[in-house]
Amino acid sequence: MAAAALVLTASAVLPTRAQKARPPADYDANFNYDCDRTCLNGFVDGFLAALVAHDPSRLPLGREVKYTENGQTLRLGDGMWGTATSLPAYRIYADDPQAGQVMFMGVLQENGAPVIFCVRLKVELHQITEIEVVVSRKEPGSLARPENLVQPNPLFSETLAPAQRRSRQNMIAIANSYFSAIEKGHASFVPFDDNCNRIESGVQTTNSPPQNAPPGSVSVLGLGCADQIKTRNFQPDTLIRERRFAVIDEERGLVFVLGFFDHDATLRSYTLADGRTVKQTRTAPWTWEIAEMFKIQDGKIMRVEALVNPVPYGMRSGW
Amino acid sequence: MNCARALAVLLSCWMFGVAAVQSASAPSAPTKPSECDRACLNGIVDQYLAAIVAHDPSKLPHSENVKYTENNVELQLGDGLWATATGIGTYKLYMDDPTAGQVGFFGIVEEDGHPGILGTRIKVVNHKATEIETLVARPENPNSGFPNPAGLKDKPIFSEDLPENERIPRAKMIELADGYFSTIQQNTGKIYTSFADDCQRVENGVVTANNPNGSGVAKMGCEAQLKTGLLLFVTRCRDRRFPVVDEQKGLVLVSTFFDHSGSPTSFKLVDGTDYHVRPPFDRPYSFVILEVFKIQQAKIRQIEAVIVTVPYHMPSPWVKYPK
Repeated sequence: MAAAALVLTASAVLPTRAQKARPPADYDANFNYDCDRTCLNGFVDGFLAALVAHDPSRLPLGREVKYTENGQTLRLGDGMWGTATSLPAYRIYADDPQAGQVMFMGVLQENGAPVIFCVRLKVELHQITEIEVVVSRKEPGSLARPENLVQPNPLFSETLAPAQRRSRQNMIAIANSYFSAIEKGHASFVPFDDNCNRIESGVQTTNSPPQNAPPGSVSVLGLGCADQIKTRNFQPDTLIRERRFAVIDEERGLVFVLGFFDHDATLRSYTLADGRTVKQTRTAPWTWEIAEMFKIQDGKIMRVEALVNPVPYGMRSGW
Repeated sequence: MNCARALAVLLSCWMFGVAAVQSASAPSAPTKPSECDRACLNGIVDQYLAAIVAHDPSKLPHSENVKYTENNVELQLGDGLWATATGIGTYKLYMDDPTAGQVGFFGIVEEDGHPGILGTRIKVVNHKATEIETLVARPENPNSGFPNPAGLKDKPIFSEDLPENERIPRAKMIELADGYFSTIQQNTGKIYTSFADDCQRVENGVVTANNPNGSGVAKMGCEAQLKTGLLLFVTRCRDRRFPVVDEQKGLVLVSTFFDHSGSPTSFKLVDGTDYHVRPPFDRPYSFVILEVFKIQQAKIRQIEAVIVTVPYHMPSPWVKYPK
């Protein structure tokens, strides 16, 4: 599916089901998780190595570790533990030592085919207690273009100067405002940087060269983050649901969010802010499962990068 | 979905050999017949179809706490297909179980002109729907070929009553249907059910066994296919339920899942031939399935399935799992 479809399919509003920002699950501000950035990244690397070796016994696991793939609880050793075949070259880490959590986005091979892969680990006292994998494959209905993800934007690995950082709650509020803006159809309350850019499943969906637009489409791909939302092109997005602000990396200004974009497909056409009419081509309800990362610097959203995966309409997270 | 994928899917009715045979869970079988006979059950289906097209759940008599699932996700009545259905096609297959108060239906539903294959099961208590389990298999694009709503043609065999002397006990009917899945799950070439020589299978509107116009595996009969051991890439036939047993017509409706773990990627067929698993079966994912079996003379004669892809190992909202 063209990236334009994603851009043109975000957002009708159900105010009665408005979502609120929630801090990471089970986060205990008074608990010393005893694992710094280097330690957390080491757990990711160890996890990836074990996954590719198809050997979960290599991991230091808590007694009741929970493992999910695309929202489904699996036993360790099942699912991608049998299909992952090479370590990723494309790597983005977000570390949250305060909450004992780390999130990773990358591209790895699954039986020879590249897939876009995210994993969240919760690490308590040097044992993994939660593993949440979201993977997007090139398949019917998928947006995934893993071949486009070659080199992560350096912004994601740059450490912010102390003056550029914001509090955890402020970072969550900023990321949450992005989703609320999509639902509401106006972006005035979202602090976008003028150079904000977004990549979704390997496709650049803002400030995109005109040639990326499907012929004959009403494309907003060429617009920036704020201007795109202002067009009200996200009206088909019914609900952005179960937002979990799983990892807050204060040092690098990263917020990693997990959630769902529901589309009930009842809006057959809609009018953009400039008066153009967009016909909705999808006729059946659908849901995107998303893992989305925000780079926030000086209180502004600089970059957005997401994994977007099709799942049955209304599916829950498993968390 | 392209032809290669369609072929792969049609080959997917085959199971990995090492897993244990799953026993058939008992269907809901009250000791006394419900007050809703065949005409009543079919009427509930027709009211359901009219209600979804009207986008109005109030047009379907339902209990206050009715449970509704769509493609294996529990939704509110009024959401999902309830808001998008715009018409019902002419293909209609009813399965009635007055004893259990349950009815199954396969047909075509249109969403703004786009047809999808509809499979549904409804439980009826006191003339009200208390459970609605719906699958909608939608083509990714009009040329995908799988699912193929246009491929669903009326098969009189499904609506023909069995002669009294050909009818068999409910438990035996379930055993035959369950044996089909056990055969797939074992995948050793041993047959755990009985097939009629002219048994045919249709999956999502595509004839995938005993296809007179097909080639290769699709041309083979039901039993011959399963004897090859081809379906080793189906890891599990999971959570089999047998909610509708239509003794009068010899029909059993089964709800189940096929899990594909994506590994191993090669194995040997029963005859020793090397088989290499091709996409999409080399990655983890599952099918949620509603499948009906026509049983004549204690043999499976016709099979028809509605199949929807879901995330790997997605649990059923209709099964209580141990904690």
